[in-house]
Amino acid sequence: MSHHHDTDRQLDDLLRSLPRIAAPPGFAARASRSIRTAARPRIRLWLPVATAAAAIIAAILASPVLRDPPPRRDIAALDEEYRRLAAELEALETLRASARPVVYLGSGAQTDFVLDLDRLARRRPARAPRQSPMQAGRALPVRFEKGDQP
Amino acid sequence: MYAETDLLAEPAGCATTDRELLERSRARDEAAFRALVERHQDLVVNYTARMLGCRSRAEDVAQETFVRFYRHLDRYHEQGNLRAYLLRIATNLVRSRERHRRRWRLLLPTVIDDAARRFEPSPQTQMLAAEAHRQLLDAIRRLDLRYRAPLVMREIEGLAYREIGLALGVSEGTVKSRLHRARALIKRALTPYLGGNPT
Repeated sequence: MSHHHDTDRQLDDLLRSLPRIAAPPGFAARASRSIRTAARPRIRLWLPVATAAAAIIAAILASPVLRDPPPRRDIAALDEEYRRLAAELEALETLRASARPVVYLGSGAQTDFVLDLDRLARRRPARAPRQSPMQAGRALPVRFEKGDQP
Repeated sequence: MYAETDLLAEPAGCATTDRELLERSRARDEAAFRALVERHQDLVVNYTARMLGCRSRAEDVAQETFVRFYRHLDRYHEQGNLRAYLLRIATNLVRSRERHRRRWRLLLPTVIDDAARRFEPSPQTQMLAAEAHRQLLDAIRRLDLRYRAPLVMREIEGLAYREIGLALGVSEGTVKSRLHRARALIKRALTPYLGGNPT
């Protein structure tokens, strides 16, 4: 009991002897400033938000998506490209029309075998033969060298 | 500190009461609120310093205490409990800070500055006043908040049990119980310095 009393007393002495920490100079003034600052955010808060929104809108408006119609030189370039593509298309159409109808049968070491349907149609008699075209020897393969155009 | 009679109007030349300063502060009298702060700033700063164990953080929390008090001036009705009310705000802020630090400590245990780890116990050394204070403050800081707050309020700030109960939102009986527990924990932590067996 005596020991407990002693330790309690020692603890009390220790606690009471702790130095007090005073507020630093200017503490109250800083608190007042903080209060004034804290009172402002409702007004100021919208300002950076509005500024950011305005910047985003300006960036969108300035973007190529919403820009004015392209300058004339771009249109001229587009016209030129259109004419070129149209010419290529026409060439392809001509090629398609002039291409001989063939059926690719296979290839050997140095030879591609194709069936020329056009020639086959010209040589075919009016009446259908009883024999198959292959048996009658009418399906004449056209020999091509590798790399030849049909 | 302020008896009921202090709250009556004083003749010119006498110190302004808390109630008068509060009334003027509510009317946005900045000078009145500043006077109120100056009157109670040492209490709040000392309390938060003992609670947090770090002076710079303590001053931040003390500042925030008065800012919050100002924001909610209309909620406080002066009945001579201003100290308890201020310490209640300060205790809540300390609690928030500690929760925040605990979360960060889990993520960055090596970064968070822990003042307690600066001081290594040295039972072999003679118990000088400064060393004893350091160990005591370390032991106080390590207490759980529910024990630390009543201990600091009572043993360091000298608040009455009733005031502590108001500040913490608990009964006087709970205050006494927690205070008894706090002292037991502190004595155990300071056993080498209190010269004997742990209680």
